[in-house]
Amino acid sequence: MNESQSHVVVLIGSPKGVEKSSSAKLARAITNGLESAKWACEWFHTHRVLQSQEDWEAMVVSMSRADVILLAAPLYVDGLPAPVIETLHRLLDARNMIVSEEDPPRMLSLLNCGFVEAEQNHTAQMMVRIFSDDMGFQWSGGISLGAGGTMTKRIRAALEMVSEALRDDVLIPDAVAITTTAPIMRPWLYVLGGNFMWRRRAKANGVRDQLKAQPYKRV
Amino acid sequence: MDNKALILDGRIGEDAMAERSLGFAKAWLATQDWDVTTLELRELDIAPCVGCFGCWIKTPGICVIDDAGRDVAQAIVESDLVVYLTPILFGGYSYELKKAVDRSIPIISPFFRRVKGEVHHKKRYARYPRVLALGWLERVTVDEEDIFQTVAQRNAINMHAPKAVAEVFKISEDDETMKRRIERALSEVVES
Repeated sequence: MNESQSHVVVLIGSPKGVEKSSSAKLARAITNGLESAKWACEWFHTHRVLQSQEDWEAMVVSMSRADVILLAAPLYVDGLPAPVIETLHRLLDARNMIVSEEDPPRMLSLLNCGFVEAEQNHTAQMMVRIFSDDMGFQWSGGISLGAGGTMTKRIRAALEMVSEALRDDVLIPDAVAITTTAPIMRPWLYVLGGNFMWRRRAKANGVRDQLKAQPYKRV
Repeated sequence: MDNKALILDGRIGEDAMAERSLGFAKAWLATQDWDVTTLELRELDIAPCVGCFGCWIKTPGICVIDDAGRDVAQAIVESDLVVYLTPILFGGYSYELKKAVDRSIPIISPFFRRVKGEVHHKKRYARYPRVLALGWLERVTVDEEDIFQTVAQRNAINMHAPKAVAEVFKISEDDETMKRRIERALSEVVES
């Protein structure tokens, strides 16, 4: 990258990493538009930076020159996955190396949950916002997705709107939240389809009849 | 209830608040004849959840990672009360406590159900423990206290806790106040 280039840092908070996760796939729908506009884009995996000092230092240096920081992660039990919390907590200690008071980067989060209601990400979004405020970043909003972050045409279009807003350095339009939080199907259908999917996957593993096992049942 | 309590100590370093809250909670539980097990989570070998759903569709009810995370999940199911002790990070649990909570999803079913209009997972077991979450902050803010309270109640829905109570302390809280509030919270969470 060169000094005049705009720069986005993507933090992937899924254990599946920057290659295979839904979080990364969703983030790419935003970064593609930035890269087309010649932005530099650097990706880091929160689980990995905790294991490697070299990767950690590279992430801190990258964040120090970022115009935008994007955290993309799945919802785990009403919050952020444990390694994401640890990464954010450690980043607070590195705050002085990352943030300049004059020109703090924008921060936004892109969270997806396994339920059909995107609103179930709300508490985790609030946690990211507190982190962003503690770091002195410019909070640009949390984008919430349900249904495991299933990419539909509608979702892709909304994420492209995010990309455009970042490129133009303007607020993320309200239409994004309206689009991403609209359920992709009716809840009863999600329950029906989801339960069918679990049975099918368990059957493929030869454990269809053990799905309701109670290995820790109290006697 | 059999009066079995599990205390999950989520401290991330030396922490006087963890010691104080642990002491007050254990003392009250002892007076009420509870059988208490305490796990200091940072001392245990618990890998983070890898999000594979193997605990639902490969080895139903048991995490595919063979470490202390399995023991914690089992201990939760075998308890009548689980007490979380945690410094509050961004309104939520410490990463040591969250690692254990993330690894406890084998104790619920993959199957979905609807609760008050929202989709959640069904029970795997007939009984689940009540939960008391005790968290502390250097400076209590409305936002973080609200998030902590909300997370505890949301967890209760997802993890089928019949009752959940959360208390937030500032680290300058005096002993007498802290003891009284912890005893009151324990009384509230265990009462029928």
